Amino acid sequence: MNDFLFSESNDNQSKANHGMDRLIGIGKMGCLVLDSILIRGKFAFNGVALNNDPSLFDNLQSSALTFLCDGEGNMRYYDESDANPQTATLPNPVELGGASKWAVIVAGLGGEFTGEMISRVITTLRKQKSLVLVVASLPFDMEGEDKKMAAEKSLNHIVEKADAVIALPNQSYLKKQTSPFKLKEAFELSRRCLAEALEGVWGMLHADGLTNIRVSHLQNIFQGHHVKGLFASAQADGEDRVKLAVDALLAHPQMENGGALKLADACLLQVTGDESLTFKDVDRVKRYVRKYLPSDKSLVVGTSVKGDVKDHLHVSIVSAHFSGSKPTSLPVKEVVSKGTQDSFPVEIEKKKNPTPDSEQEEAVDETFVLPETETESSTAVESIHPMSPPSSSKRSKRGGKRYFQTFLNLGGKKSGRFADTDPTFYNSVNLDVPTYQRKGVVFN
Amino acid sequence: MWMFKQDSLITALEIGTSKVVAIVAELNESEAINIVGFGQAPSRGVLKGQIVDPKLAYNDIRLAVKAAEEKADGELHRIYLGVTGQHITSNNYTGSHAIASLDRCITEDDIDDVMSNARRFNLAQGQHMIHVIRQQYRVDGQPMLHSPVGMVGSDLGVVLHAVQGYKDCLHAPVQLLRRMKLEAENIAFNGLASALAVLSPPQKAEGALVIDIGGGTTDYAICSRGVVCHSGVLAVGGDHVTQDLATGLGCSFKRAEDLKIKFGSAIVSEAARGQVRELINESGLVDRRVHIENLHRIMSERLKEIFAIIAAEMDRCDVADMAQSVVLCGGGAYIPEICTLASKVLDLPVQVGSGVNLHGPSTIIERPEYATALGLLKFGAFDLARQKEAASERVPLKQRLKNLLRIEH
Repeated sequence: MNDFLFSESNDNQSKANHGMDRLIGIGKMGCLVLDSILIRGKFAFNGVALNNDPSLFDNLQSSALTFLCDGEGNMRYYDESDANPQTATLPNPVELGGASKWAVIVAGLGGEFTGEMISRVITTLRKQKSLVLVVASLPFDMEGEDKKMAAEKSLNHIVEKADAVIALPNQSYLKKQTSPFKLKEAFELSRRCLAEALEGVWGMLHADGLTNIRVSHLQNIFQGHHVKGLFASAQADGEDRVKLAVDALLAHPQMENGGALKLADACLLQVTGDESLTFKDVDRVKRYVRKYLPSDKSLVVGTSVKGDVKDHLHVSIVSAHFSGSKPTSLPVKEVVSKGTQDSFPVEIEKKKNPTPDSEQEEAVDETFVLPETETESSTAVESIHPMSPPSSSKRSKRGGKRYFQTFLNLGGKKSGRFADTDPTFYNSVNLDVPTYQRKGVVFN
Repeated sequence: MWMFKQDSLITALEIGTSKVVAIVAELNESEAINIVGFGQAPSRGVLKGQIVDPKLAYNDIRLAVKAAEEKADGELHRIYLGVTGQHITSNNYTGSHAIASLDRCITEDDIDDVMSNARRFNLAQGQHMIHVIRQQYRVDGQPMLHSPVGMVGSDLGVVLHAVQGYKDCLHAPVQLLRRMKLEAENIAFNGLASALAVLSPPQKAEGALVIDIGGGTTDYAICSRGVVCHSGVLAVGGDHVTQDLATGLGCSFKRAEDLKIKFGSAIVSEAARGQVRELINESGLVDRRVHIENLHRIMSERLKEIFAIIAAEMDRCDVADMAQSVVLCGGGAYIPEICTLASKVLDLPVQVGSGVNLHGPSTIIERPEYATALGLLKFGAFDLARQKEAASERVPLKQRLKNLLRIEH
C-alpha cells in the first residue's frame, strides 16, 4: 500500500513523488481528515500520516504513507507486515513523502504529541525548503483548560515556524447551536470543517482564476507576522445571490457575524461564479466585506469562473489576525433572525449523517450532550464583546472598589494618537499598534 | 546694522514632530560653518513628520523663526528646509550608454548621456524628486567611484540613488513659510541631512549607518565610499514608544512621556526587575503603581522592532555589508542603553553622534537631537557653493579675470 521514502533507501520512489504537494496529517484528527481529503480526491496530494497509535493506520482507506511516531520525534515507517523497520528521529533527514514546493499539515491541536510533532515536522520541511501551510483545529471548551492551554502554546510555536497558519476554534461551531449537540456530532463537524477549510484555502490558492490570489499574497500576509488565520466559505444562488452568500459567509461560525472580520488585520477573499458572474457582483461582495473589515486593513480579492457551479456564487475568505489575538475568545453577538437568509451555513448544518470514518471516533458516550454556550445570553454578550462599549456602571453601584490593573491591556489594538493619521504599514503590519500587543507579550 | 554679511548667511529649518528648530549660520571665507543664531519651539501641528494642523504648525514655526532672527540679529535668508514622512521613498536606478566613438574613449558627453539615461525613471503621479545622488560608474561592468572620463570602454553605466516624495506633502511646509513671507531655498531629506551632520569623512569612506530617531519618524541613511548608497524613513519614532507606554500602562500620553524620560530604558535590566514606581496625581496622591520592568519591556519591544526593520531593509536592498558602524542621533539617542540594543540587533558597533566640522555653541553642536538641522546647514553650504560655481561658469571670461584680479570699475 505504501511507499517507504527514507532518502537513503528508496531513491527511485522518492523521485517519483517529487513535485506533488504533500498533505501531512498528524495525530488522530489530522490522520482522519487527511484520509477523507485523499479519498475525496479533489486535489492531488502526496499523503503522509503520523500518529503514535498504530491501530488508527489500519482504518485509513487512502494510500497515505504511515509513520508511527513517539513524543520524542522518533518515527518509523509502519505497515502491516512491518517489513522495513528503519527508524529516524525528526528533524533528521526523513523525506516525509518527497520534497515538494508546498507541504500542508492538518491536525487537531491540544495533545502534547501533536504540538511537539508538528513543530518537528515543520523543522524537517523547512530543511527541505518547502513552504508550510498548517490548518489546525483548536479544542472545544469542554475538553478542559489544560488542553486549551496546550493548544494555544502549540499554536504559538507553529505560528512562528510555519508560512501560514489557519486555526479553527472548534468552540465556534457550537455557538449558534440552540439545540443540544451530541459530542460525536461535534467532533465529526469539527473534522468536516477542518477538511473544508483545508480544501477551501488550497482551492483559493490553486483556482484557475481571472484575478488570482497568489501564494505571495498568503505569504505576504502570514510570513513573519505572528499571524493566525480563520477560514469561512459560503455559497448562494438566486437573484440576490451576492447578499445571500455574504450573509451566509458572515453567519459562518468562524466569522462570528462579522466580529472576526472587524478584528482581522488582512483578508483574502475568493469569489467564484459561473459565466454570469459580473464585475458588479464581485464589487458588491467586496463592499459587503469591507463594511466589516476596517478600512486600513488590506483585502485581496480573487475571482474565478467555473462552469460547474451553475448559478451559484461561492465566497471564501481567509482572515488573518496579527499579534496573537485570540479568536477562540471572541464572543458572538446574539443572532437576530432576519429570516432564512441568516441561517447557519447550509453546508455545515445539513450534514447530520455520520461519515464512515466517524465510526472510529473517540470512545465517548454518545449520549453525552455538550452544554449550551453562554453566548446565547444576550446580556453576557454585550458585556464582553470587544466591539461593544464596556458594560454599564456596575462598578459604581458596588461602591467604588478600587481597580488595580494586574495585566496589561492586550485586548484591543489601539493606535492612540495616531488613530487619525495614515497608518504606518510595514509588510502589511500596522506599526501604529503597540509592538508588545502585536507580539502578544504578556506582563504581570 | 547687520552683524553678519547677509549673502553668507544660511538657515536650517526643521519642522519636526516634537520640535521646530531654526539655526542660522554664517559661511566664512574658508567655507567653514559658524552658527550665529538658534530658535526652537515645541511642535504641536505635526504627526509622523507631516503637518496635520497647519494653524498650530504655523504658530510654532513663527516662534522658532522669531527666536532665531533675534539671536542672529537679522531676517532669515536662504532657508533650507528638512522634509520627512512616510511618503518619502528611495530607490536606486541604473543607466547605461554605449560608447560610440571609434577609440572607445569616454568623454564628458558620454557622462552626460549616461546620466540622462539613468534619470529617465518614471515617477508616480504627484511625486517629486528630492535628491538624485550618483553612487558609482561602471565601465564594462567594473565599478569605479571617480569620473571615468579618459578611460577606454564600450559600455558605460551609472548607479543613482534617488529620494522622492509626494508634492502635496512637500509643499505643505513650503506654503507655511510663504505665508510668513519666507522662501525656502531648497529642501532636503532629514535622513540625509543627519548623515551629513554626524559622519566624519573617514566614517563616510569606511561605511556607516546613521539612524535618526525622531519624535514621529526614524530616518536612516547608509554612507559608503563617501557617498549615500541607501536611505529610508520609517514613520515610527519616539511618539510610538510613548504611545505604547500610554496604552500598556493605562495612562495619558503626557504622563507616559514623563515616565519614558525619567525611567525609560531600551533594554530590560536586571536592576529593573521588581522595581515599582508610584505615580502621583494632580492632587499629590499616589494613584497607581508602575512596574519599571514592564515599562522597559514595552520600550524595548518597540525599539527592537525599529532596528530590526532597518536591518531587514538593509538586507532587502543588499547594503547590509556596507555599514561598518552605526551612529544614532535624534531625540531617541538619549534613551538609556539604546546603543546596547542597537548593537545587539544590528550586530555593529554603535555610538551617539554629534555635529562634525561645525563651529558654534557646543550646546547645539554636541546634541544629537539637532543633527538634522545641523546637517541642513551643511547641505545649504554645499548648495550655495554649487550655485556659486554654476554662476561663475556663466560669467564671461573677461569678467571672471576681473573678479580674480579684483579690478573695480
